[in-house]
Amino acid sequence: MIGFNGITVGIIIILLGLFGVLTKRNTIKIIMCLYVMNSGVILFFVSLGYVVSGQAAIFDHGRTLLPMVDPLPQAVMLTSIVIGLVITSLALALALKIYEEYKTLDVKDLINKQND
Amino acid sequence: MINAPILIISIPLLAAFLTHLTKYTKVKRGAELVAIFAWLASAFVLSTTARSVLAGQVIKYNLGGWPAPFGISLQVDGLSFFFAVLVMLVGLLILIYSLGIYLYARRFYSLLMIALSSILGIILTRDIFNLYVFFEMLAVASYVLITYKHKPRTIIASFKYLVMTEATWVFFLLSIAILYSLTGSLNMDVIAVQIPGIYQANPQIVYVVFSLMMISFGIKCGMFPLHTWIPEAHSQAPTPVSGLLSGLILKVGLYAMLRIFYLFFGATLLTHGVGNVIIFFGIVSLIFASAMALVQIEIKRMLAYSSISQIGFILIGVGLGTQLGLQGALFHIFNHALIKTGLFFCAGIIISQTGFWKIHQMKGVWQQMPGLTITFCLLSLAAIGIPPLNGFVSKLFVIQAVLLKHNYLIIFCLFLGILLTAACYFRVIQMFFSPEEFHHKHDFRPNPVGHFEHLTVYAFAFLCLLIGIFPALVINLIQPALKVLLP
Repeated sequence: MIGFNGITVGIIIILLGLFGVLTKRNTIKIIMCLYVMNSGVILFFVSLGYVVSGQAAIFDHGRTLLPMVDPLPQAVMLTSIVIGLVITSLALALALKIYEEYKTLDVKDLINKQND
Repeated sequence: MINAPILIISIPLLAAFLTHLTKYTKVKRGAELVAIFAWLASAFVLSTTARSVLAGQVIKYNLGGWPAPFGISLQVDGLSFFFAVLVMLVGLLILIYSLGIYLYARRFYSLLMIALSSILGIILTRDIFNLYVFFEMLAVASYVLITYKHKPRTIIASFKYLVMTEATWVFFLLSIAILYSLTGSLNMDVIAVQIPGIYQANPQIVYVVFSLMMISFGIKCGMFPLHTWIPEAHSQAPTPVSGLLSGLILKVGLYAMLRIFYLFFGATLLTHGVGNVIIFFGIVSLIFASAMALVQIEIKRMLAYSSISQIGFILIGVGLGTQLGLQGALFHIFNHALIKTGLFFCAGIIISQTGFWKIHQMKGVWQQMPGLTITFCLLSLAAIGIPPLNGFVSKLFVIQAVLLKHNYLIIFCLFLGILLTAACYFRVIQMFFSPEEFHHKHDFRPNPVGHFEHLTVYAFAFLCLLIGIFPALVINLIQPALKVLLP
């Protein structure tokens, strides 16, 4: 049975973000939807390593802390969050430059102005 | 050398930061010198591995001393070596081409070195998440490189590339997550061992992973429905970056496809006819993009669409999965990187000399630049596949491989694609040799073009001729790569 956990919510968030990227016409909104997609994957991946009432995987003087969560998805997703931040800031910088040049954020207007 | 894999990646990456520090020295053109010397040093380190890799050995390096299933491992094997040689060769020529143009300063070389070192990282890594990180590094560097000239249209091209790539690249991360949940490891070798068992138990999940990866590598290599960023980005980027995009970045997408599909799904999906999906997309890319190239007005857009059609040709070879088909695909990857980078550089020189972007304005270029026109003709004949040149040999391998499968529909499509390619190149050549008097654009002052640019273009044409006459030079490199793909 599919529960209402991080994995299913993650997939729903990815699909919501994809819907936004495909349908929105404002460049800033497109960038935000890209970030939403990225967040969905992060939630999905971190939930894979989640254990109910698990501890952080740090060994202290030989004492094992069971149950413990899988540390690898967390480490990996930390990298992914940084990459998402880089991409978002770069995309926002590009959107700003586009606005300075064409005075519009609408994708349809941009295509019309480019063809003129 | 046991440290070779990490040195090959880290020397250019170090150079990327050193180029900025040359501001504080009195050396003239220090950034260019640092970049070229770092690239040559990296190529030297690669050459020290050549003897053992070509003999079929594998050089492994574990980062931080952690053994394979826990740490990230880098590896030079036959396939990595083949692609690394290609990247070294084309990368060096791109660097030399950029030398001649004074406007490409420190920031340009820094970004170029980041892009080139991340390409090497993609080729050498054995960790699937590390592959993702290197791809993102390459993507960020190339978004900024495309906008280097700060023209409004370049920014829109870069934005389009960014949105398309990032939206699909999320799916690659999703496929990594699914693979991790199934196998409990991010190491490619560990995952590859477990995939057949998972396929036995639950084939659907393997198909899901395959299709997610197909989408994400498809956008990197410019497969048909995901190709729309290519014409914009390639035509608006500065000329050395167009060469980098078409010559290396598309090829890296194909490398990831070859490596991961044959390692993960070689024994399961590809033997169950999934290769036909790749062949289908290859054929559609070939026909559609050649037809689109025929109606383009701008010369760089025409070359960009022609790149997509050649990628289609390679995808057919990849999808066949036979010894001969893969040999043709790998050979065509090598040839196409040389041919298309050379053609973009030729077009770049012609544009900077005449000020014209459109094909129909380039009447009588022959009278102005005879050497360059002949080089362009030679390279475009190689792209079509005329016998003494290298494109012929690789296309012959692919066609032979299809003939062995007795599929005459694919043969028909291949010849149609070649004919359309020929038509679109002959249209340009005809304009160049037009008897009309050459007219400069009104009040246009041609940019000075130095010896370095001409040198690189002639070097590309010479390499195409050399490989066309002695194809064994590259086939000897392909044999170890084939042993990795089809064990």
